[in-house]
Amino acid sequence: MTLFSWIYMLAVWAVILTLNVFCFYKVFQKPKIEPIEEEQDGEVSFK
Amino acid sequence: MPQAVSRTGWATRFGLIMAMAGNAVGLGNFLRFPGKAAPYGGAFMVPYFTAVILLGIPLMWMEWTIGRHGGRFGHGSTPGMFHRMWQKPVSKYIGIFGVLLPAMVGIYYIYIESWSLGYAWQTLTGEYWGKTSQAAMGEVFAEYVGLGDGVAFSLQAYFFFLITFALNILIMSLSISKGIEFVAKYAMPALLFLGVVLAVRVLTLPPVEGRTVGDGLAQIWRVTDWSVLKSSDVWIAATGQVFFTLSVGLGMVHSYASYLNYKHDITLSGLTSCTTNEFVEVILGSTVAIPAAVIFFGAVDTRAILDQGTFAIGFHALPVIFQQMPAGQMFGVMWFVLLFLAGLTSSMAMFTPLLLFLEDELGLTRKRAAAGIAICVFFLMQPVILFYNRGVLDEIDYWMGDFGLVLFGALEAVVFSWIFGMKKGWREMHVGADLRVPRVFYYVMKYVTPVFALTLVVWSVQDSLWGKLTMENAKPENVPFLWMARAMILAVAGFLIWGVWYAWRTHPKFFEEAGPQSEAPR
Repeated sequence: MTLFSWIYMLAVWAVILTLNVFCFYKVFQKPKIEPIEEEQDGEVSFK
Repeated sequence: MPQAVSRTGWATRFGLIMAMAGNAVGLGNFLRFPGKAAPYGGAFMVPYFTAVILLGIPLMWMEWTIGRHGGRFGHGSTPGMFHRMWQKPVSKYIGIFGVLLPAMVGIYYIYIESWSLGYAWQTLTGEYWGKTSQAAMGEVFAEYVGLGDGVAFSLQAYFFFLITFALNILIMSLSISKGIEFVAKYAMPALLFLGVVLAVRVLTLPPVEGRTVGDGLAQIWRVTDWSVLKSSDVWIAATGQVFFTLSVGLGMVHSYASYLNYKHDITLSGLTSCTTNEFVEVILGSTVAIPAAVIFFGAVDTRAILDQGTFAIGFHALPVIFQQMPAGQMFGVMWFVLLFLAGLTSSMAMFTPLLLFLEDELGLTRKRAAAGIAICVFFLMQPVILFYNRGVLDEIDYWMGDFGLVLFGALEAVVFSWIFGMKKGWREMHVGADLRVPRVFYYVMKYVTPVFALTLVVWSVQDSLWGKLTMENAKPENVPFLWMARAMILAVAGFLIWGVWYAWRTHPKFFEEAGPQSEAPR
């Protein structure tokens, strides 16, 4: 492995891990599937 | 009034994400990915991640959206889902792919998955211990699957196949939260734990005859020639791998997503399952098999092992290595249990679209649908097992698991982005979203993903379709068996075409007049 290869590999790993950890962090902020809410007049709103 | 379809839904968000990630994480993460990447070195990652970003993640979001949208109308499989997006008769027939492909892939995938269980047992009992050459392990493998001129039958392989098959049917027949979600919640963390332990073990292996773990990692990460990116081969290999690894273009994600209630997030959950899969594939998948093989056999021999096919490194080479490393028996069992769990978390989803098609569109009870699938699938699996040596498995794999998923992925991208409409699709995707997707993906999903997917279909046609269709490389004695494989595919496709025709004819009110069913959980 050249120095560039190590940097390349570790950079890709870091991006994947960061994204994965970020996603799970956001997921665990709201882990339960929310109870069903009623729609009003058939409209759904963007969060 | 239409008859409502009541099913219990996902119990927890963690369970849902583990099930979706488990659906994506499979044998291919550990066996197929390193084999695809190594011939091109580090340059492979460029088309691979290009395809993940422009094709894989957008398709994943599309499939979650299509699934949740269809689920509102009581559809758990793609014929009904496509019908809801595109009110033309042809749409529901295009949707048949999303039931046919996973079911046919499941027919051979479960058999391969059972090898891992069998090898875990053989490693635990030390059955092949002492066979320390690849050639000897090749013979063990040939004996295990019953390779030879006649019928390929091995009592041990068949025994483990029966266990694996029964387990899959049992999980499938339970409700989504008590079956698939329950298994995924435990199997996926266990898989991740085993993967990390094995990766750490390989990364800390001492050099053998001067060969280090760095030499092994270099096979996948060192860029020796950027000019390979000019070849279409590397793009076909990388994009095909992305389809395969994320399990997009198969219809299974749709079925899982149909169990979501309408305001449940799909953008963050979809991205989480993708990144989890990438963690397992790119970080763990590139760290175990090839580096270990390079340390013990050298780079040249490792390339030769990879040339022997997808399973050679996992079932021939690594068992030899385990016999030479301290506590190798334990790590060997861990490796095969890891493969088994990766296979199980994928295979348990493969018959779900068919099950839901029978339930939702043909009105069968879950018990009857599960029993019917178990009987039919069991009989369809017999030629795959008994004529494995005749290429039956490979033939089904090409048409369903290789070309079929690329074709269906392209079709669904076109239907979603251009027919259902990206504006509507984008809005639908963001209902209840916990993550606002950057606007640039609106244009990616509208223009790039469908064009990219269609280009891949054209590449696949040019690359291999005609040769496969005419069986130009098939041995003459295998040709009848390959036709038998095609007949099996056509028989299942024929049943599904009849099923769609019959369902739409006999349940017109349910399909044509029903509005979205309430927000009832599915």
